[in-house]
Amino acid sequence: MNPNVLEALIQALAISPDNVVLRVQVVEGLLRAGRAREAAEQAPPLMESTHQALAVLARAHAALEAGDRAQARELYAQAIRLEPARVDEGFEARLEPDDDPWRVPTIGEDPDAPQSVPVHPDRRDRITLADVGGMEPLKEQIRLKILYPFQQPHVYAAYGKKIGGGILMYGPPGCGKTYLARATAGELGARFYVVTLEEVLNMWMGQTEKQLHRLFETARGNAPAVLFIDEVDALGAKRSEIQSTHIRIMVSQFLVEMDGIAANNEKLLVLGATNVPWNVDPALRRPGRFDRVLFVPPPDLTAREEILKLHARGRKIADNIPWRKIAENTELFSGADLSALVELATEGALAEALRSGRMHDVTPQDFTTAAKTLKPSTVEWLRRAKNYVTYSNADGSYDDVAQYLSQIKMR
Amino acid sequence: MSQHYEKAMLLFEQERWELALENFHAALEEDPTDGVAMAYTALCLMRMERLAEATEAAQAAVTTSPDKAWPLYALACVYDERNRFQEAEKTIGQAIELEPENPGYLAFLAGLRAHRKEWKQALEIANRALELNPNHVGAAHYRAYALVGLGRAAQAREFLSSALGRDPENPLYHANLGWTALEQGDRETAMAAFQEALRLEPELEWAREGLVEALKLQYPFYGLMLRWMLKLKKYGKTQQLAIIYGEYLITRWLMRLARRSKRLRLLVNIIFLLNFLFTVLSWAAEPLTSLLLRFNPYGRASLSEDQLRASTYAGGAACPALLCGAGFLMFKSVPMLVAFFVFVMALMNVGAAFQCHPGRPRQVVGAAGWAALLVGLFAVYKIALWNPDWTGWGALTLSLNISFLGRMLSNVLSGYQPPK
Repeated sequence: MNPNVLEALIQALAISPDNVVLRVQVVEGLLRAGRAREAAEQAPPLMESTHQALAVLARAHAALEAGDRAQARELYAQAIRLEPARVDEGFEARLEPDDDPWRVPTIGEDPDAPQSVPVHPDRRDRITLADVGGMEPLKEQIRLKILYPFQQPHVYAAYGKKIGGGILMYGPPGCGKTYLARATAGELGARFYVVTLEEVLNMWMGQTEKQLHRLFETARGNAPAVLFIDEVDALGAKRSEIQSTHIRIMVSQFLVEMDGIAANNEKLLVLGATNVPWNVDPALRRPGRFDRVLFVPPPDLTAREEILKLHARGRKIADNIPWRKIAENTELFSGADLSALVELATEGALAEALRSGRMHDVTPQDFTTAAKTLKPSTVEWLRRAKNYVTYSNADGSYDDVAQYLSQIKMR
Repeated sequence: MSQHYEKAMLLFEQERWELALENFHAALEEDPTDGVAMAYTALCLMRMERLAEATEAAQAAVTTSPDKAWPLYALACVYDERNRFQEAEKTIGQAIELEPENPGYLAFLAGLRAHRKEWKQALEIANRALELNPNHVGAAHYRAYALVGLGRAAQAREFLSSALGRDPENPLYHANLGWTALEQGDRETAMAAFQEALRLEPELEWAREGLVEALKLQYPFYGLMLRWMLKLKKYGKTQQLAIIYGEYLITRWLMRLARRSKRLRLLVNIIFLLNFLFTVLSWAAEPLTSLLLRFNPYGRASLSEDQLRASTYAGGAACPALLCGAGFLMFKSVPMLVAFFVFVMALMNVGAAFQCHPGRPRQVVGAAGWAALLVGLFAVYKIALWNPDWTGWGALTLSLNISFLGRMLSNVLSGYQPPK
C-alpha cells in the first residue's frame, strides 16, 4: 500500500474510530509496512469483531518485534486457529527459534549437536484439501499420487507399487503450490517442514553436504513428516549448466539424500515445488526421487471465486458483487493476481472516499475497472511452457501441461 | 570476495535476476567503488527488461572503473539489447582495447559486424577469437554464420560438424547447422537440426524460426521464395535497393521492346505475368504459408504470435481475393476483377507490414496498407456503379500507388530496429 494512502487511512481512523472495516485496512497496511507495534496498538478494538484473528496476528508481530518469540508463536498459532487463511510463510520462518527441534537446520550450526526429542505440539494449524476451493482434478491427483500411498502402503505393496520418494509440483508462480503442499500435509496429519529459498541460498555458502544431510535427518527423525522444498530448482539445478562447485556438490548430495528416502523411509514425503521444472536436474526425476509430478495450473473458475471471496473478507465491500462473473472474466489469473485485483478495487474505492470525504462500499464497477488494468501473470509462464511441451516432451513429462494448453486453446 | 558478492554470483549463474540484484546491491553497500559488481547489476536489470536503469548502472560502472573491461562489456550488452548497435560497437571496441585477448569480447564484436552484414570482418574477428580459444561457442557460431553470409555454406557446414563433434549438445551449433542446410536447400537435415536444437533448448527463438522455415518448405513454391529471401538477407540495404531499381529498369526496357515488336509482345507479356506472380509471392508467401501451417498441429504450435497474427490478416485478404477471382471467372465481371487485384495487393501489404519490426516501422507500412485497401474498395464501388467520371479508375491507380509506396517503405524499414 502506498505510504501516503496508509497515512491518510490512519488519519481517517482517528476521525472514525468505530469504523471496523477501516481499522482492518489500517492494521493490515501497517503489518505489510513492517510497523508491527503500531498495528498492535490499532488492533485491540478488532477483538470484539469478526476480525479477532487479525488483532491476534498483529499482537504476534509486535511480540516478535519485541523479541518475545515464544509469545509470538503462541499468538500466531491462535490467530491461525481463528482464521486459517492468515497463514504467512514469511512470518513463520521468522518465528523459528534457534533451539527449536522442529526447525530445519540452517547455516552455521554445529551439525553434530545432538537432537533433542520434540516437545512442542504441532503448532501449525491444519488446513486440508477441503480448504482448497475448486481444483477437483488436481485434488484427485494428490489423493492418488500422495495421500493413498502414504496412508495405505500395504495396498500399494500388494500390487508391487513402490511408495516413498518425492513429488514435484510445478506450475506458474502464485498458483498455490505451497498452500496445496500444506493442505496435503494437513490431510496426512504429518509434520510439515518448509525449506525456503533463503535457506537453500544459505546452504550454498556453507558446509553444503552436512547441512543438507542434517536437514533430511531431522525430518526423518520426526516422521511422519512432509518436507516441502520451495523453489527446488535452486537445490537441484541442472548440473550441466552450473559452473559453481558449491552448487554442483549440493545437487549431488541432494540426489544421495533422495535415494536414502526411497531406500529406507516410508514416513517421509518430500514435496518439491518449482516454477521452472525444466531447470531441475534430470537425475532428480529418476525413479525413487521426484518420480511423480503434479502440474498445478492457474485456479479454475470455482477456485477463483473462492479466492476472490477470501481476499474480500473484512473489507468494506458491497453485497451485490457478482463474484461468479468476475471469476469468469479472470481466466488464467493466479491467486496472487486475484489478490492484487481485490487490492486494486479496494484502493480505487478508497481513493474515491478520500477525495469525496464520504465512505462507500467497493462496488462491482470498482472491480470492473481494476480488472481492466490487470493482466494474468501466468500467460508468460504458459508461453514458455508451450515451447517445452512442443519440442522437449518426448518422455511425456509435460503431458499435463499439454492437455491444459489445449484446454485453454493456447496450442 | 564478500559473502553477498559470492551469493550474488551464484544467483546470477542461476538466472535469478531479482535476487542476484539484491545481493549485488548489498555487496555494493560494502564496497561502493566496485565497478564490476555495478556492471553485474546492469546485466541483471537488463535481463529484467529495466533497460533505462540498466544503461545508467552500466554507465556508472564504466565511470567507477574506467580501467576495467568488464563494465564496458556490460554497457555494450545493454546498448545491444536496446538496438543501439553503433554505441554497442564503439563500447565493445574500448573493452577490446583494454583486453585484446578476450575471446568473448571479440565474439561479441563479430556478432555486431555480422548484424551489419559485414561478413568478411565478422569472419576475421571470429577467427581471431577462435585462435585465442578454439572452443569458444560464440566465436564458433559467428564464424559459421559469417561463412554462410559469404556464400561459403559448404565450408560452414564442415566447420559446424567438427564443432558438434566436440560439443554435441550445443543447441546453437545445431540451429546454425539447420540454417546452413536451409541455405543449401537440404530440408531434411535442416528439420532434424532445428528439432535437435529445440529439444536441447526449447526457448531458442532462432531455432524455432528456422524450424518454421523448414516446415514451410513442404509447399513447393516456398522453396524458391526462401532461397530468394535468404539471398536478399545477405545483401546490404543499398544492394537490395539496387536490385529493385534494376528490376524496374528491365521492366521499362521490356515494355519499350514490346511496343516496337509485335512478335515479342506475347513473350514480354508472359514474362510480365511470371514476374507479377513472383512479386506477389515474394511478398505474400511468408504470411500465406504461415496460414497453411495453421492446419498442421505441430506447425501451429511452432508459429510465433506475430506469425499467427500475420496469417490471420493474410487469411482475411486471401479469402475475398479467391472469391472475387472465382466471381470474375464465372461472371466475367470487371468490378470482381478489380476487387481481386485490390485484395491481392492487400495480401502483399500484409507481408510488407509484418516484414518490419513491431512499433513505428510496422505502423507506418501497415497504415499505407490499410489506406490502399480502403481506397481500393472505394474504387471497386465506383467501378461497380460504372461511374462515367472515371473516379473509380483514378481511385484504383491511387490505391496501387499507395500500395507500391508502402512496399518500398517496407524495403527501407525492414532491417530497422527501433531503439528501446
